[in-house]
Amino acid sequence: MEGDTANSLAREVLQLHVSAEKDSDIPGADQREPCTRQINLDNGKDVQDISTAFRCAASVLDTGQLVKDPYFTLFEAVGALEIMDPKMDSGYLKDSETLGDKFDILKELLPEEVVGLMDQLLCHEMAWHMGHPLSQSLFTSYHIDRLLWPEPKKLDEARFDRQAPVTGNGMLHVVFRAYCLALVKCCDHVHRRIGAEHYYEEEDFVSNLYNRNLLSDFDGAQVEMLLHDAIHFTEQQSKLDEAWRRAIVVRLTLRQRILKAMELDLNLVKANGVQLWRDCGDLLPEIRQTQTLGTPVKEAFSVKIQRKLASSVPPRPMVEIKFEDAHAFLNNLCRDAADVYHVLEYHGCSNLLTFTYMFQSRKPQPAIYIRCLLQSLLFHDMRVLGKITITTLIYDDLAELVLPADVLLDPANGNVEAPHDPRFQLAKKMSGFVLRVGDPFLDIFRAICMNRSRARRMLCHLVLEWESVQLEAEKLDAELRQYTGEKPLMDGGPTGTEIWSFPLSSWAYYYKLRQMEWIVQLGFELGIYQNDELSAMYWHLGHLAGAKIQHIERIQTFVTRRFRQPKRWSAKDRYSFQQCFSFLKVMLTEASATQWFAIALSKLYTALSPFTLLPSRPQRLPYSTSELRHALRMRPFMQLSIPEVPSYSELAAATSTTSGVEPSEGASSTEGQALSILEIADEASKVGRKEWEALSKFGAQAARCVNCEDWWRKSVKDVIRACIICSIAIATAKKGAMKAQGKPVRKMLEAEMPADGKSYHDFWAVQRCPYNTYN
Amino acid sequence: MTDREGLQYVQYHSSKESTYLAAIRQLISNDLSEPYSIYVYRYFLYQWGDLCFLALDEHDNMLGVVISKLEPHRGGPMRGYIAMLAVKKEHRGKGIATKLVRMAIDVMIERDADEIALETEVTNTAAMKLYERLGFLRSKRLHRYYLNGNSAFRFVLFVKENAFTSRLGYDENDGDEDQPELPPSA
Ligand SMILES: CC(C)(COP(=O)(O)OP(=O)(O)OC[C@H]1O[C@@H](n2cnc3c(N)ncnc32)[C@H](O)[C@@H]1OP(=O)(O)O)[C@@H](O)C(=O)NCCC(=O)NCCS
Repeated sequence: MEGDTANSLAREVLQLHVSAEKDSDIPGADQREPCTRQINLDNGKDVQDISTAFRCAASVLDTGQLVKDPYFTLFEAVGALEIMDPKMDSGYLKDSETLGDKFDILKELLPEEVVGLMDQLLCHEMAWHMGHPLSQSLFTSYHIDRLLWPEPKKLDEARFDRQAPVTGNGMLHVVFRAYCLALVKCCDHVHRRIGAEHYYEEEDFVSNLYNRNLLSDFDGAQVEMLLHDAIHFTEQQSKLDEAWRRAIVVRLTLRQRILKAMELDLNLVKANGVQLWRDCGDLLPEIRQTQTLGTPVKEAFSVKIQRKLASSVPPRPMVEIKFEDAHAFLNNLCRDAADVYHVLEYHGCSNLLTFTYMFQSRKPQPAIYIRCLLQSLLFHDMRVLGKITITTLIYDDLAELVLPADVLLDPANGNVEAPHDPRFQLAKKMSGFVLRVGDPFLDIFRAICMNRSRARRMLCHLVLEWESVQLEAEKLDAELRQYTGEKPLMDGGPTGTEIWSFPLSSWAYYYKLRQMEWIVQLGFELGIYQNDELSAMYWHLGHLAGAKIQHIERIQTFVTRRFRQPKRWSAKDRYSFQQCFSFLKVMLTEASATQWFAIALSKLYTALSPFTLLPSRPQRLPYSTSELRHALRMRPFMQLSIPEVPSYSELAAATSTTSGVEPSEGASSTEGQALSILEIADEASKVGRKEWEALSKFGAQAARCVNCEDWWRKSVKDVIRACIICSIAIATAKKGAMKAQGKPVRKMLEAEMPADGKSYHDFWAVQRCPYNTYN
Repeated sequence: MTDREGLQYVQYHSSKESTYLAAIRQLISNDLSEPYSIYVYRYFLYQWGDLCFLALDEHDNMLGVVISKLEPHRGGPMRGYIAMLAVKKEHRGKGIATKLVRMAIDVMIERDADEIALETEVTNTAAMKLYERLGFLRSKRLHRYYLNGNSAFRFVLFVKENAFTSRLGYDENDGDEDQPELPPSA
């Protein structure tokens, strides 16, 4: 910049009214002339008054004309705030409104107020855990605000009396301060735990700290000391009624325990995580009972504090969580946290997957903190569960599913140093494989840890990755043959085609199928499919389960053949085979159970569709055809090579009321067709139920649910219940169709879908179908 | 266009901003806890004014409005998006919204849309029913999508037959990791 210009600029700058005052003086600025507005300047050198030029340019625009570059997106538009609009401008003051409140933070606290405040803070803390921002929850507290701002350099500075220490008023300065600091420190642990794992900002959790620090530089032990002192202090208050004393001490103790249980370094809490969280939970009944002793202090909280927080969002109301809800939430949190530590008991890879899966399908789904804790436990210190290498995990899994006692997984391969030795090559190729699949494999666990909506979406992406994994594994399988000397099976047919085992790609395909199944099943759980889609989607589920059955049988064939080959198997090898066979058997039973139940439901909904018992859309929809809707539904799977995506005509035929059905005699044709289809449904539901019951008979080891047996059994039992409801619905439907005799079936039968969360199992949407007794 | 009840359905145009914008904002913000800034309206209305339709009574009072856009989605299909829809409380249940949405969809189809999308709260029975009866399907659930903590469904309607060529795969077509189309308020 040339000297002259710089000088004149500097002069202009001097002429501007430079305000060193705080923002608080800005309101009222609207009364001034626009051209003499105040400008805050820290450093005046780059300021140019463009008002004139701007007004001149603006004068040639029409109202509503948008001037934007291509980079101005909707997102920016939504982020814009209108100054002086009270709903958007957090600095806006209405007439006679004051910037802050007149809350005296140093006011002496009565014991009932201490209890009340602690419980209010607990509600705000839980609100944050539930996904609300700090600005609308904990940071509305004047006490917390005072402790954290200005940012204390030493823990000692984090006091309510920031100027000079005040003596006396121990309830406030000793007891309540310790409680607040410990609570903030807990939040720090939560914030860091969640921040280190995979979660979705705003959806699961709002991590914004608004430029505040949650005491993250101070040691938890220091805070713990303060709690200790506070407890001691309270216990010494002989003039204080025993009931208050107890109520306060139990709250301080709960804080102490939570703080300890939330320790960030998992190695310090791993061994007794279950106990630590049970200890927290044990105090909750007493907290609940003594809640009535507290008196809330409403004035100690205000949304006006939002104005001091570094944020660009409009002012938003305080989130009010009822104490009962906060309490229940914390109760679940403690229970889930205690349970989640059982994940560390390793019983093999598929068992680990069952645990993760069962844990995450709990209702309500575990809180975000817990879901992140599970992710940390699953993988920390660069190891699965902090102790198992990814190679071991994947080898365990391969052995369980496709390669028991196989040379491919022999750890001794790694000791061979001669490059021409096939074992050297095997080791090299296999470690390349592990490197390739490690992430996608762990991603399956990660996906399950997400909120349910995300889990489904993440699986939709992940399944594409597994498609590639499968194709690459197929190539590798072919390469590995030259080192393993595998002999093909000969197809018995006239052409005598060779059939190879493809162990690695079989493994990948199995997981791909599993993900596809989950995508559809989560679709039911999340209410994605409408009533008129149920028959097609259950047909699709049955189709996937069918593909899985074929695939598992194929694996079984090859494992059995290998086991029978003339070779002396060691006891260890035999055990490995046995594990594999038992696993395949359970998986086969589960796939078959799924298939039959899915067919039963598909047929039930097909049979009833002409009678429109359930609220559903008109057959013809103005902008859509069934083909286009089919294309949309199959979109997540379109890119997958196998299993082949059912074509529209295939699906339409499978769910049509007319094709391949002989109407039963003596009934009108629609009812006759319905009856025939219901017969098939009935048969399928009987087989399905038998299969689910067979599944429920497996032991925990075989079912791979050793550390989560109760959950697994309950889940299977719930499906059996759903099967029973399905059988009943089929039976009443049959009765209705049979007795209709010309009368409209609609009059004989009613039908309704269970309300949200009211079905026995979320994957199985079974309608209730009561027989209408008035007819 | 005037219907039996004496309602007129008009296509918006930027030249009508001074007549209509205030009323549009008013109508839409009634159902929102937090208003959209004027830029959000202008973002849509200036670029896709012809995809905005208004329902007016005989005295030109605004009874309903739909605001939408149409552009290639992530370099893939041409995607129409219904951003806002509202009908005045006393006039709901008379088919006004259905009519407005259909007019917007018709223009989108005329302008070569492949698919149309939108989000709605999972508890918004009226809106879900309306879209479902036009042929929309729920394509995914969006967890805690709205400020009030409620979840949403994304609804999608394919309107063109080239489904199998342009819609391979999940990733390209389905705004997923992306910001929601219209960052939610409500
Ligand atoms: C959604 C909204 C635009 C619908 O407007 P509308 O003019 O009443 O809609 P229509 O009359 O065209 O159709 C609505 C359908 O839903 C039905 N409906 C309305 N409220 C319903 C309810 N609570 N439960 C079940 N169905 C309901 C109507 O009866 C009608 O179906 P019908 O023709 O079978 O009777 C209106 O309710 C509204 O403005 N809501 C607030 C804003 C909003 O939610 N916008 C949508 C955001 S995507």
